[in-house]
Amino acid sequence: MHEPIQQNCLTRFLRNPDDEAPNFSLNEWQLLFRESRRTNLLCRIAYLTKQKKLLGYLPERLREHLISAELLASTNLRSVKWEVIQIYKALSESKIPFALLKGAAYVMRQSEASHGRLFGDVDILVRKEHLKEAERALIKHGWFGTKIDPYDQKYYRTWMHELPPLKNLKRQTDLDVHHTILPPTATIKPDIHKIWQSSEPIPGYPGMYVLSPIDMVLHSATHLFHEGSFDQGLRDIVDLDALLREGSQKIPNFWQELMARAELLELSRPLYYGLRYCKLLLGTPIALEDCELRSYKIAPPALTRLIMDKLLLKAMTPNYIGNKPRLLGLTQFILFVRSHYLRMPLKLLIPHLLRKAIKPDT
Amino acid sequence: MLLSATPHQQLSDQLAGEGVNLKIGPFHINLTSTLPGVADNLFHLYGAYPIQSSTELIDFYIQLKAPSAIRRWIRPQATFSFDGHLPFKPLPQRQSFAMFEWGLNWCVANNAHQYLVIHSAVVEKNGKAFIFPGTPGSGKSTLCAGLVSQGWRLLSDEMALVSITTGLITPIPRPISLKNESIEIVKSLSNELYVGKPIHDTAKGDVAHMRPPQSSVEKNDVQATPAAVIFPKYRKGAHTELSTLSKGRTFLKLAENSFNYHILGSMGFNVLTNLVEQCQCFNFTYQNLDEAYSTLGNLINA
Amino acid sequence: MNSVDTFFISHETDILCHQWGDESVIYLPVSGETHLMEAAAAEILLTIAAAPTCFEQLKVLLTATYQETSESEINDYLTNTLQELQNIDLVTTVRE
Repeated sequence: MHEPIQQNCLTRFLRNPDDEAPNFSLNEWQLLFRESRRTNLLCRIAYLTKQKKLLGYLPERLREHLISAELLASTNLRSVKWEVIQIYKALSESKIPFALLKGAAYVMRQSEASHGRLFGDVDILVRKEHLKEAERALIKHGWFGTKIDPYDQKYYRTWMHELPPLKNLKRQTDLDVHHTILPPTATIKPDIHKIWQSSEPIPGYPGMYVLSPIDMVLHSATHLFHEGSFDQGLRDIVDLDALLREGSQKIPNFWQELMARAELLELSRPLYYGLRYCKLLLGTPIALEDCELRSYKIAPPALTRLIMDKLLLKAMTPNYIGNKPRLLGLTQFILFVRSHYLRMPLKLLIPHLLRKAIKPDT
Repeated sequence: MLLSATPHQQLSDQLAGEGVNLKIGPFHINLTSTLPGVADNLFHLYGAYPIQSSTELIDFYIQLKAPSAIRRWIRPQATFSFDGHLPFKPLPQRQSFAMFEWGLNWCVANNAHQYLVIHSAVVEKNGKAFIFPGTPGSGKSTLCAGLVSQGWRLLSDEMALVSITTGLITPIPRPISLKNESIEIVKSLSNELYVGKPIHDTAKGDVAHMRPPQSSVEKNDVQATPAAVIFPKYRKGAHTELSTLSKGRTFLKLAENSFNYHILGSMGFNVLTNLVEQCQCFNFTYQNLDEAYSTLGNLINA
Repeated sequence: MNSVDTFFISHETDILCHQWGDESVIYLPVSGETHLMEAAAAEILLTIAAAPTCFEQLKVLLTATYQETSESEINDYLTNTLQELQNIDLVTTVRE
């Protein structure tokens, strides 16, 4: 895990804000600004510079943008909390237990990963047998299905792990309801019962859960390579980095527990990649040697790893100017195909992509 | 150096190359484009602006370009790109300058939450800024252009930037966007006004831009104290009438006309409360511009 | 709703309020909602937010502020206003 990779100003800053900030030139601040805004990480930069008392090093007008980003982040945080309360109201009325996933979970656990983060959809997990009932309860409380195209309906219901995305009519917020953390058709099949067993209640909200901190890490790592969109790629790495740093400080035997749990849930491979790219891009301190990783049998063959490195690190580069945008577009496309390949049996893959390509914007 | 003093070829080259750096209100913009007409429009409408050297942080990198090689010849189109992000669908190329104006509005409304941004025209006289929120059909731009032709200072035709720390309004004097009939009305006001060629059949009908006065552009950095919020309503055959609007209702209407009130949260509530508190609030019906000038002038002197 | 009900604020939150004459604007940070209401309605809301309040207590409060108003008018106003505040989910009779 020591291959040199090309660092942009954003990853340099995220790796080591204390050392970089005093030495950044105006041009470097400019690049940091553009790269972080492009990857939805400007709020994170605002949070880090404030928390680490680095504001004094910033060009004055960049500070203005950070004030703006900070306000945006705090409103976003507030609205996620409100959304969670509304979902809780809808589902607890029907006594449907559910677990918050990803961003909403970080918020309700006040995890380090929730600071300076922008949230889009809320994701929740319900048990498969509650899926229909959950949908009914949510629709009764003002959510409606957004995918009315019958093909999309079938795609979501049959092959994906979620109901078609729901939208709240009044607040225009999006909600994804899952019953497993990966689709039933994926080659990897983590045991959802084990994940439910170790989930943790949120005090004050009976029936509302979050994944255990270790499962949260694993889910974050899995999400990184199994979702279609890599626009948010670096943001997801930043999430995982924050979860890893926090876990290793708060949980005894964190790394060993993490590896064992990954093996149990058959998520060793995504974890390997997650750790690898966190370390390469953000210098996440990982208290495991390569040989240890190998001993857990999670490392992929060398060639696979090499291809992934090339694809992924390129996809993580903010694609604003220069940087060979065409090539990058292709890279992101391949990753998109790859993550779909992980989700669905191959024969299903092509029709859906084709439809995505020819269908006009909705 | 003023943009209007830059030789045309140099301006085109710069647009096609590293871009033209402009300070527009509080924002530094880098604009690149190879589309025909952009340099011309810049020259006529932004001529009063100085071209900046590249020693300042750029807030918005904007690129106007043709989306694909094939479309360059049949029905040529233009895209607006903000740091590589395309917030809009392409438009016919003849609308590219209007697209620049709309796109810049979009950049500010979505990225400048250090201000409460209210959709409105703002003009100032004797240190008192009047805010004219932009409800559809209000004729705010016509009124704004008219007042500017009478020597009022233009702060903005499109947005009030209310500082969240001081409550003062920061100017962002840009070309005034005129639609349909108002183009001819404004042209007839004075020979000294420059109004660009109309762009036909845009989403907003015919659009033409009026150059902001040099004196307003020069006072780019001078903030103004809000003194009145006036909801204009242009109506054919109407008498000029100024009627008091309750502060509570003014508050609500301003919140509705704001791009980012909801994003500012409690801060937005406090900033807007202070703004409404210090302003006189009116509904204003008008048809005759001369009467409008005198009614509003009286408010300044009151 | 009946007159022995106690009214609670629906969601624990600060409430920002500014009054101009007989109108008030209020802002609820928890939901991000802004409302314009009669000053008297805002007063009722703020009273309930400070501590759970029953109908009779609210009546006493309003009677003290609006001395010119008859008891039946105050009753009607209070009943309607409390219903409105429940409709928009600002107050509730059920402790959460």
